[in-house]
Amino acid sequence: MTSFTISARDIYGVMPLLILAGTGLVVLMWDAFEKVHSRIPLFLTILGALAAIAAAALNLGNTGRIFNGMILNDSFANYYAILFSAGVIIAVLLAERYLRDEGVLVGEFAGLTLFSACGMIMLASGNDLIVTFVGLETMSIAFYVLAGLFRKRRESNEAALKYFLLGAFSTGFFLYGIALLYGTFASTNLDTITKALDNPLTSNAILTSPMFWMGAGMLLVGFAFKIAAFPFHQWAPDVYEGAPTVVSGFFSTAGKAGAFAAFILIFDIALGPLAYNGPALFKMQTLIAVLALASMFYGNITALAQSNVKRMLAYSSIAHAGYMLLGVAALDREGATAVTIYLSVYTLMQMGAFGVVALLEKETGRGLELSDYAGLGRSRPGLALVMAVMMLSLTGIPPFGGFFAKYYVFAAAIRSGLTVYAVLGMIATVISIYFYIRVIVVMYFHELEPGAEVAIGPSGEATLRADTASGWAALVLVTIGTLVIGILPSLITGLTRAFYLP
Amino acid sequence: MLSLLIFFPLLGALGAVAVRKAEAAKWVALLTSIITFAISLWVYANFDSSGTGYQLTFQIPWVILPGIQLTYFVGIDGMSMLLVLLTTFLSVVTIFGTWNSIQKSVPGFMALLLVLETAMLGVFCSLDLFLFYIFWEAVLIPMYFIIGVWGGKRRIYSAIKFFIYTMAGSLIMLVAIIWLGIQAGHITGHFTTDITKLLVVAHQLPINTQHFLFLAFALSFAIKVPIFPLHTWLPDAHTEAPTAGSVILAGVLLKMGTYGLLRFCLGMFPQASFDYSGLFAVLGVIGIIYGALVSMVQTDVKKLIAYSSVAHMGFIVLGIFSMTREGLQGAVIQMINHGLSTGMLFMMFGMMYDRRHTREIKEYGGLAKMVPLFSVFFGIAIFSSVGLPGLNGFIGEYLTMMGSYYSPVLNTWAYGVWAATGVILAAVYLLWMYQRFVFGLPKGAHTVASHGAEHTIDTSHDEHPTPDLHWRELVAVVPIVFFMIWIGIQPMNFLKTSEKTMNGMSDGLLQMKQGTATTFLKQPVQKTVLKPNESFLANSH
Repeated sequence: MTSFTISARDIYGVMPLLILAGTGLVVLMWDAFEKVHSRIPLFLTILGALAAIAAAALNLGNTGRIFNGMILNDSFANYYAILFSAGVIIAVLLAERYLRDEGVLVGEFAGLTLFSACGMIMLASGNDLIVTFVGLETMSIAFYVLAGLFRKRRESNEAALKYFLLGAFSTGFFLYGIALLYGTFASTNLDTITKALDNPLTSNAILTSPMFWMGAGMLLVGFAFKIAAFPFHQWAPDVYEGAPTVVSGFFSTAGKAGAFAAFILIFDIALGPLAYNGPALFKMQTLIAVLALASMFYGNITALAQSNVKRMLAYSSIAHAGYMLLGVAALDREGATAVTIYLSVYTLMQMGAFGVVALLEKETGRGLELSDYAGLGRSRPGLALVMAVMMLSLTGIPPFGGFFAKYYVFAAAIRSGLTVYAVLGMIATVISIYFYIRVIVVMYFHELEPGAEVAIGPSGEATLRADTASGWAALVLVTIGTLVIGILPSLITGLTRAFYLP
Repeated sequence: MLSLLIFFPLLGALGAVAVRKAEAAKWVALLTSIITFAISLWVYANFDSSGTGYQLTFQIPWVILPGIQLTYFVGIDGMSMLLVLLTTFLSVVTIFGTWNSIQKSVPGFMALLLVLETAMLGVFCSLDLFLFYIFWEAVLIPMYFIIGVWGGKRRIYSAIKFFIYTMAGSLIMLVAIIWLGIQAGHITGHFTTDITKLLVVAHQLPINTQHFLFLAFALSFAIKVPIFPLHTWLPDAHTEAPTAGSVILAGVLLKMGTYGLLRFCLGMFPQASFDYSGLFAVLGVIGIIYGALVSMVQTDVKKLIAYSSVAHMGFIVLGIFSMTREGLQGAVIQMINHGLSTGMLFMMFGMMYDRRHTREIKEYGGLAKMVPLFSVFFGIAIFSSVGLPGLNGFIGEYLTMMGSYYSPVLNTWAYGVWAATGVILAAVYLLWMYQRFVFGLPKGAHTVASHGAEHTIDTSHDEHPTPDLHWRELVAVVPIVFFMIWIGIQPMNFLKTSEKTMNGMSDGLLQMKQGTATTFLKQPVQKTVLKPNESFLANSH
């Protein structure tokens, strides 16, 4: 540790991160000097994100650690980098018109989104608890600002404040957990932690020490906050509802993916040797699986009662965090792969759903009620089709991507002996069917009300944000993605298969 | 070849959406379904009914993950061959027979029907459990939209009920599939959902595991069949669905449940099937009698036909769980029969509904004079459904009852006797309905004919007398009647297709039953006199 040099290999390894950060700076600067709305920041952001995807794709075959073992540069980290960059592209495409109507500069949004993506990449490649922490904070701070992007709207401010306070609270837990683990292992490096647990000479002492369990528990709580798992979810519905819709879409998907990536790295990989130790595995597994079940049931049951689509999606995202937690609870590499696939699909479908909501939203947040969607199947067949695909995919019905994702997660859980939890999870899924297909019912089966036709009929099309090329590009992208993953899952499973090979 | 058969309708669906115009979409759909039928006949020509096992198989790797290998694997045997033919045949006559009954968003409707056909064919041809599950679920979506968008007044309620009911069952099946794949992996060395492999290894699993898996699969299939008491979604869905939806629902969708019971429950878990055969036979018989009794008191024609489906499917379940050659063959032929006769009943009633727009029996009457052609064909469908000798229904009911009577598994003749009362009741409710529907005093628009103009109850329809069958409708029903009579007179032409498959299955089951019968708890006397070599036999499975 004393001689610390940065080699070209290190720089090359964090290229996606550097590209995103650089693009963020350029976009912000552009915005500061620009007086009129233009699309240049949008193009710059997409260009930057595409470059980051390319850089990450080139690194995909890498194995190993860089920056003295602090940062991972392997297929896992780079796969997530691709996922986050793709999320950024979809988000800015959806946001362009939406933000312009609200009088917010695109550059501001794009810059913050890019910075938060940098944080996410650090989370997914952090091989040291400190790096993870820095990543978590980079991501979160950008998010606090994003939530309050609509400065003049009261709900937006409330969302930002709430998110900030509870986020800071969870950060405290997280940091305390890191401190306790440092106390146990005398290191924050994940490799060192794995080695210590792997070694029978040291592992017994560790597994019986309360400090280890308290540290791990604190970290678990910190992550549970970030992924909005029950009972640490309270901030999520309010924040998702109050924040600008596109922003909610972004941090309920990419943000969650970032937190889950670190969750997997710490709990599934670093603490992986727990699996050799029956009782310890059992403790950890039960803890996470119970959290998972509670989130699924709470999220799905509460979502049943929502009449506001945005809020419904917020609660459903709690339930989805539960499904993914079940994959984490498998505590093995199959589980980690399953969660990664789930996150990829989830990012597409949740973004798609939020995207449709954003495009249908009218000025000052109206048009979010479920009843506003009546007859959409006739008045806006394209949007309704996208929404229907997203709803069916979120329910987990083949041949859409959501089904495969769910299948892998449940398969991983059952293989790890969590069959009972999987069966209960399926029951939770049955509950969720109702509110997802209710959206379809309203869109297709309810007749259009006579008055509504004027508002969103052919004559009123100008009032919709839907007719921008960028919005449509994003929706078409996510829909095709959801379908392709559903029919040919090998395309992404092929990428994730390379994970964790030595 | 099978893949072409499965995915050709999907191509047609895209075409139907692409042409956008209602008339053009109908022709695209009709043409697609006719070509699909032709392909299925071509498949049949290449199918060797004297061969055992799966034929025309095609397998390519599909999803490969550490621990999970899924393949795209299709193939058919005698049972699925018949069901495939039924599906493609019914699709053609449905599209043709309900030509004008759908008025709004016709291209969408036709596209959904074709997507449905793809999914149904996929269900019958899949030889990988996972692929099977995907097609099984994919059936739900088009059907859900067909009921929800084009259905009757309570369509939303019915569509949601249909969806949640079947989905709940399938999700439990999904867990069972994963679990089975993992358990089988312990024996074969790697995770597998290949049905041909599972058929070999599944009954080597611990008996408790087999019981759980059997119940999980059976629950999902029982909802689809539907077996009493899980039938409550069916009357709603049938009643509210548009005609084409009802025909496909009754004709093919319900068969997926019995197909699943035969292929997976009996095929993979014979021991558990023996243990639960009594339960399912009893539920089957309850279904027969309950369905018949409830049918009798219905005032709504579609509801009556729907409940009669519950009764008819009861025969199939009884035949399946008799596990004899006769019973299984009877079940297969009864699946075809039910598809033809109930499908035709729904279709013909749909034709009348398009003319009169009411489902109440009491609104009808005297149709025999007004629409003689309709009455004749409706009568044939009724008689086929009742099980009149000489028509198809008789063969199926006779075989299933005979099977249950002989069955060494059910071990009592009581089931057959109770089921026979169901036949009598069927005659009662169907003929009574026919009498009220077709004979008697004309009602509605046509009192004119018998009473003269001054006694007309409803003069507003005078200018629009109920027309008799259109040539197009005639073309749709005549082939069905043709097959009804063919099956009724010369059933061996059809039975031989599935003979090898079903006989092989039944013989395998019964041999196994004899091997383990004495160690099983059916007869308490024999339980106490276990011989050592017999218990060894039991354990070796």
